[in-house]
Amino acid sequence: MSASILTVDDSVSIRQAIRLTLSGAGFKVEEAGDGAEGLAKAAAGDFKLILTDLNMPVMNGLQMIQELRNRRILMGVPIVFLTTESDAGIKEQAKAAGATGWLTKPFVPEMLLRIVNKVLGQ
Amino acid sequence: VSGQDPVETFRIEARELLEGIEQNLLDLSERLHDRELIDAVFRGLHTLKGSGAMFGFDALAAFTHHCETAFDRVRKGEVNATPDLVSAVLNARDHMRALAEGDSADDGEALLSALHRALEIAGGEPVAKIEAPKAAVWRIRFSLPANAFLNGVNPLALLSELRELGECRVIADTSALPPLEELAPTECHLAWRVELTTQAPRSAIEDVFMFVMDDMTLSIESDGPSEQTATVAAEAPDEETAPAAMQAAARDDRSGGDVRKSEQSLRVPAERLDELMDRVGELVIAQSRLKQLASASPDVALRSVSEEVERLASELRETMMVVRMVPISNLFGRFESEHVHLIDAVTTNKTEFFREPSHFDFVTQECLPQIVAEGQRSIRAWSAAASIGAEAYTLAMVFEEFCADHPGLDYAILGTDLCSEVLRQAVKGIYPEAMIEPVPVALRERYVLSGRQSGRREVRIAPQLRAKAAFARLNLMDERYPVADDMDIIFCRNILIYFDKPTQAAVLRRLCSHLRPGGYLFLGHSESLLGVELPVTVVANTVFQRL
Repeated sequence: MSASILTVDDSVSIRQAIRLTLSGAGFKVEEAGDGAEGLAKAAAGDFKLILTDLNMPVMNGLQMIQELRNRRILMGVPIVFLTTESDAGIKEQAKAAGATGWLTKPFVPEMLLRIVNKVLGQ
Repeated sequence: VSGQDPVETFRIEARELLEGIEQNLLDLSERLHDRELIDAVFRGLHTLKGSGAMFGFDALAAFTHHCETAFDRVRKGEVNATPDLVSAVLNARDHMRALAEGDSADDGEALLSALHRALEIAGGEPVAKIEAPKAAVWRIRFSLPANAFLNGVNPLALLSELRELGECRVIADTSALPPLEELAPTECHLAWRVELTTQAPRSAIEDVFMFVMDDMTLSIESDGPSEQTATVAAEAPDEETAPAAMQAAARDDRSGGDVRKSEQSLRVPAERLDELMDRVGELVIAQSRLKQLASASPDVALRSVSEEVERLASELRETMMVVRMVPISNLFGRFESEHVHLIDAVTTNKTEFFREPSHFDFVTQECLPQIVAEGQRSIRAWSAAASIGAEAYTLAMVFEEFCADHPGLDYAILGTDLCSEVLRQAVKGIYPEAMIEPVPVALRERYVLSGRQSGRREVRIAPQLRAKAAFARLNLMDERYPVADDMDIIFCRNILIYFDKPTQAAVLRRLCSHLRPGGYLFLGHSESLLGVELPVTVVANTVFQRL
């Protein structure tokens, strides 16, 4: 069975790019449009990895990461956040919230796959 | 894979391996010094030999062993890869193929003597060192922050990335592990020392740790391209921040002590692993014969045993497959499998079966007689913080005993937990033998099967009990539970203490709403209903009855 990945982003195009790349590599991908939806789907599903944007409406990525870790939802599952080089300091915040790693935007499919495989240990 | 005939699966795999070996040999005949090709040929031959032995292809294993040994010597630089040697192995491939298909009568003696001749000549020439690009030996020490596991960091992934860079010797430093009773299983207490031989630059090693670099203890030092010397010079700019155990280990290194050797005792010698593979191979073959006999027999009991054996054999085989996949040069593979055992050994607690025995006495003496008196035909119980299933199976044993005296009475148990990993363990119902010590001997004899897996004493809950227990993922913090609302018995022990007061109240209220009137709620001994108004009455210490 292929591993499932949850991608949380308010941008439809980013979600689509992620889905295409990951499903092409054999992963099953589920999508959520904001942190709250991401949290709900994470609580209901069995995911091997969560990929999330930080800047989102309703509930931002930082809050979502914090909630996931505090409520021990998908305990120990890696969370990778998307960030831009200019976001100085945000990495520390996200890591303090419990994120596992990050992916710098803009990214190419190879980079996404490299990071996904890195945190999944494949 | 598991649905197929394993022997057929092996044949398919053998064909692929032989094709790979052939292609690599052809390439090698044009680039005789290509290190990667030499390694690849060796690995292919080694895998072919190992799997062959595992699935009963003894002639193939024995023959391939000669070719493998030849390439092992090439790999070590003892002999050169000569055109003669390469073509001797190339010529042997059809023979190996025939042996894998099971249709060769010839013993391949002529091929072997050609191989040995080529090997002699190759060794007789002055040994020109295979031009391996200069590799440096790096000594890497690292430990992760305690919350690494919870934050999704997988140390095994880091180690396998290091292994991709080159040959690794990995030593897990367990000295910072606290005693079992103080150990929080979700925290990372291990540190690692890795000796990596690679051409890759330091930045490639640092890259492995890119996500954890800032919060971890990491030191990377190079011993230079030569064989590493015993000295650990100018170590330790970060020794002050390193855990005490690491410092101790470093001191031992410096004094040339044998500490490393003793830590390596977790490794399984290659021969033992091969023996184990052979046994598994034999088991799988014997099991498929049993299956044939059973399927032709009208005896239902025989069939059910056969199915059980089939499942166990297939699980065992898969475990062995994983171990077998690791190249022999890579001792960490074996180390890792021990390491996994270490982890699940520390997360399973001796006191989990029949924890707080008075609760189970109460179940037998009060709850169950009442259920019978009310004319119910079945008992429904819910273990709401099921973890690896010890509580659910304890209930199963208690119910099973009671039902034996009350024909017509049946039971079902639901176990839920937030973590799907522990639930998978619960479904399997396999535990280290030490864990069932609290189970009364009479019950153990009836409901627990003993066995030995990979040298570790293990037990398994009997199938008839496992069939009565279902496990599902559930978050007690959710506002609704997808669970029947007429439970007879709910156990929710030693989990509420992790919640804040308002959450405790909400969880307790929800649990009560899933009890039928007259049903029982059991809480942990350190937990109480203090301050929460619930439709229950206290009937014993930490036992409550729904009004």
